[in-house]
Amino acid sequence: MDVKNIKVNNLPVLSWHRDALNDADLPVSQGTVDAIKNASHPAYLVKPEYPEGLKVTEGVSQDDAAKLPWIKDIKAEKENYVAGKYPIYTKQDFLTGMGREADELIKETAVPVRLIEAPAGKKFEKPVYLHYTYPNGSEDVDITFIHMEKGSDLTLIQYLDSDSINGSGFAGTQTKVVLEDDAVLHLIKVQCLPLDFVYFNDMGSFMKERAHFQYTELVLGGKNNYLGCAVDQTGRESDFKADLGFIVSNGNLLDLNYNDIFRGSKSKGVMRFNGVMIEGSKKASRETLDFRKGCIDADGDEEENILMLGPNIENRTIPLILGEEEKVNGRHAATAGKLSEDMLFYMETRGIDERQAREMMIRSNISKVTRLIPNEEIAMAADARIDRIFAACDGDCRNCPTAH
Amino acid sequence: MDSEMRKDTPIDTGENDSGILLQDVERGLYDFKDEEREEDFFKVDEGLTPDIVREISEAKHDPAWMLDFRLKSLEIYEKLSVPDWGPPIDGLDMAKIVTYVRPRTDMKASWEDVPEDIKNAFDKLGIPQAERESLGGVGAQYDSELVYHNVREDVAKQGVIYTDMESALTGEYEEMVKDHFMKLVPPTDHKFAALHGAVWSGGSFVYVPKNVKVDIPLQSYFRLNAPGAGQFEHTLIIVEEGADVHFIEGCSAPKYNVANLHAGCVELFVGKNAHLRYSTIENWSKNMYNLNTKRAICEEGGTIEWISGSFGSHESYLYPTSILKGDSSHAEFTGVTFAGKGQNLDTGARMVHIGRNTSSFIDTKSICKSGGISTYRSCVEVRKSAVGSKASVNCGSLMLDSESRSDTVPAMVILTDKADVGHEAKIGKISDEAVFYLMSRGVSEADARAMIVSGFANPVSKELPLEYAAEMNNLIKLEMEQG
Amino acid sequence: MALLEIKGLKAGIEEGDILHGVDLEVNPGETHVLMGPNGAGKSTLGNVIMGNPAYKVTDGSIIFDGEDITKLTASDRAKKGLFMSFQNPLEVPGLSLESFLRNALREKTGKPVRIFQYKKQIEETCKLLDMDESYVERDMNVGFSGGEKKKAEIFQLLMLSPKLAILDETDSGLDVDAVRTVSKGVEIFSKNGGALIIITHSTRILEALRVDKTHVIVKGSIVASGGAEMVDEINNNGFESYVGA
Repeated sequence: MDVKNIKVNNLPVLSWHRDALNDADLPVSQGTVDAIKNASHPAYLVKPEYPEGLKVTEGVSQDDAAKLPWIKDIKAEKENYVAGKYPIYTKQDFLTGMGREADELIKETAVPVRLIEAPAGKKFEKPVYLHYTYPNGSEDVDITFIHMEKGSDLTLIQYLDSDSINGSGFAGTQTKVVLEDDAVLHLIKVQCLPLDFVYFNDMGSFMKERAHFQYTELVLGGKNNYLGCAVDQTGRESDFKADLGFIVSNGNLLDLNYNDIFRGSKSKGVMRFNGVMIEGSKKASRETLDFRKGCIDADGDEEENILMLGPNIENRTIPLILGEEEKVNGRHAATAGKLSEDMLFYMETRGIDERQAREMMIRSNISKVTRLIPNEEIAMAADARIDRIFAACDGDCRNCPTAH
Repeated sequence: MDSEMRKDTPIDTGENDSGILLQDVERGLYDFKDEEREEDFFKVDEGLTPDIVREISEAKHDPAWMLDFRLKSLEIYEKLSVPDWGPPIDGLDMAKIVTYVRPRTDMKASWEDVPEDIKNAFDKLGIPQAERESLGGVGAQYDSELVYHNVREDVAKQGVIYTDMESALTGEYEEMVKDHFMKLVPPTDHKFAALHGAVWSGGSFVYVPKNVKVDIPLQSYFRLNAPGAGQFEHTLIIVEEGADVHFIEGCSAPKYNVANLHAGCVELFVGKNAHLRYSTIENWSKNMYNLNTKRAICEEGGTIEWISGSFGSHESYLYPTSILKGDSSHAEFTGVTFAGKGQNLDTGARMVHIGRNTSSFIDTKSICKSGGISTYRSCVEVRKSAVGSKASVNCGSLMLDSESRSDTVPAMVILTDKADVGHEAKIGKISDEAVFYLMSRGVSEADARAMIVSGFANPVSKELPLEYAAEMNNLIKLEMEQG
Repeated sequence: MALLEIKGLKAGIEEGDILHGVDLEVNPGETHVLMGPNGAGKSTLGNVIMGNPAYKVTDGSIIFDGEDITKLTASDRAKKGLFMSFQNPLEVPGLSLESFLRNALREKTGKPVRIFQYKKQIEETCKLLDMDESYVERDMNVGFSGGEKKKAEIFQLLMLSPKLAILDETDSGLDVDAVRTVSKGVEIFSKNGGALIIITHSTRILEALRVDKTHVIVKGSIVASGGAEMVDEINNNGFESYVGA
């Protein structure tokens, strides 16, 4: 089969090639592209219930969607910004985390776009829930454009799972979000796919004045996972908060590129990454705070905590702080390592055995993200997923999440 | 293209002899690695010929193996491309540099040609006239030989060898040099390492025998006058088991050179339980492209400490690398970078943990002002074998205006769970309140700002010998005054 | 001649004036107490006298020691003999209190500081305030407790010996030990002929001092002035009678 590697998750500035963090390869076969092209869409979305007043349009062609004024009029990230001699950011009409080649792939699949529009001033109390169930062998891309008009308020959950436990497949999603002045959006993506799925989640968003955007992402399954998130805080006093939680299993990969661009004055951004890496897993994370000239009194904060469980793990991280505005505050902190011996011992003195202690620590790590999901069902599914990961322990340390 | 070329490399990189280099550290590991397609690169104009290299070698009375080494390095130089990720180096005039490295070429500047800002800096730093001419590249002999000889004879009583590279190469230490020379930084590493291998000249050789503790810092400052020194100089320091030495490179006075490339190379071998501190204050004139490669390898229980202040140069690529090969070896890097008008300084460090229970610590401060660009770049790599290791990175950036740019690009590659790696980075400005606070005590605004910046850089200056620390603070003050 | 003479002072921030025409005279060696409800403009007045660029003077003038200082920078004012203590002294990592003060003194006198004398002065001042000398070696205010910061401010006051010190003590929830040090330092300063403007709610700090005048500031104006007795009166009865005025 004809497989090509597309370059995704480009680091905004280049660094040493040998550290393998400048970008990632996402292998896609022509068969996958064809299968997606020939499917009817939305292929695996369980029919959702939309609240009254929320405008949802399925089946808009990608070309038509790109011409929508609220998409087109966005001052796109077209500048060829120069750090030294090299351009940062791949050119895109609408900046997303995964970058230009992901756009090209999506274009090739010709999957139609779902438009979700929240009218001005309208507050939706109940979370809107999109549930995708991918059967074994399924291959699909799902595209959603969200327009939060002035002062609107919405919580949207996208939940991906499967009816099979050990299936394989290809599931990609792309979401483009525009938040107008004073709009509030909580976007939640939960991925509980079988461990042989290729998964990508490409997100891009523009935030106008005083907009609030909370982005919660939980990744519990998947073989190779590619997560891209780009947020352009053009509006003053815009407020972005991201929480990513993940567990990467044996033999699997998680590759992420989160990018917060500050342009508006007093814009605020907080990104927190909490992950558990199981023996035999790989992870690469790119986390960028990009302070553009004029973002006076902007405040950016990112933090990564990785729990590494097992001696054969590849954990790569590059947290960038790019600054061209003097009057900002930016911080980054990262820690990585195994569970602390002191903590294990302390718990043991209180009668909790090592295995239980490890499980507790993993759960507490992921619960920082699950508690942000306002949906019992999904929170329970996430818990069940963690149970299954623990149940997979068969005494073979290479498979066991508590491998030591 | 890179890896293919490496396969064919005729250079003896020493992995099969003398046992100095470990087998598990592959070549070309560290800083400038380019694996991109050839068409992605900007090619510098060559013009360096085997004949020129032969001429250099002859003038220096090289042993035959060194001539051979130079010619092989030249071949590698021609095949390699410049890096695609750092500051642009299009402005590098290779033709001029090639002419300059030729022996017997009279490229001395006249005092009138020395730029005004450099002359002013000499004034403000209070450099004596004789020394100014030497630093200005005018070539008048500033007689430091006497001081140098005294130091040299002092330490010789302890069995320490402290000499220039040329003497070491042709004297009784030839074998030792041959065993170590460009083994840590092979010419295949990157284009400018290859160039160095072909045209290197001058530099220091230090050998500290087992258990010898050298009380006084050895300073390359006294060696500035050797012809070609400070351009492609090679520093080779071997510290044997249990020994201890502090080496200081450079000085705070701006050093001017007509040829604007500095591609020096520093190789440090730290023996079992040995301790080496390597301090640098770099203040090249602001036309300089500073592409310097520094690397240290530590045996069991050995410690390398880097203290680094980068103030000069038009552009810099500088990432001292510590290879913690031996169990329980330790590395520290403390650095401050000040990028002013017209400067693009890309600096940082690289730590490679291989041995068990190794530890590393990076603490850096970057300051940019008046349109200067400073990039902090680093990588902490913890290999699978480095069980029980600890690494910590702490980097701060201070921007003094919004014309400047400050980027922080720190990578971490962790391949074992049995290590603790922590990282903290901050970017910010001078707080207006802090300025007002100091002003309310009678300090002028300019001084208040300079004080805060000096305080910010204090982690570095406090590690330097007193006179260097004072010079560094003067430098910061001077940089703060310049528009 | 008055040491400080404020006439028709209007000042505030970008959004508008906070002080609406303040008149105040302080003679050499006098101690004035500035009282008023929260948000009345007490701290603003202190900051404007000291020349904090965060506040803009829109009208009126500040004459200090016979010279109009309204347009001078804070550092020039300090060189002329003004001082202000901060409620939250700022931390300056990497800069020791000792080396900072040496610089400040050199700036003030325009002469190099004679190290021997300087060290002696530090020693004596520390003794006076019952402070450990190791204080001065530490980075300025870094990791200091609230009490330690306040002590370090008073230490600076005595070292720099200004003509007029503005002490902003509004929110000082200090321990007994710190209050004692502050009171003692202020008493020494006053006895040596220094003039004081003390912004405070508390009487403890005033116990050892001879208060010459008390002013009540409400909504950006001084609404009443009187003698030392006003402090007790306000502490007993509150500001109600002034707020209405």
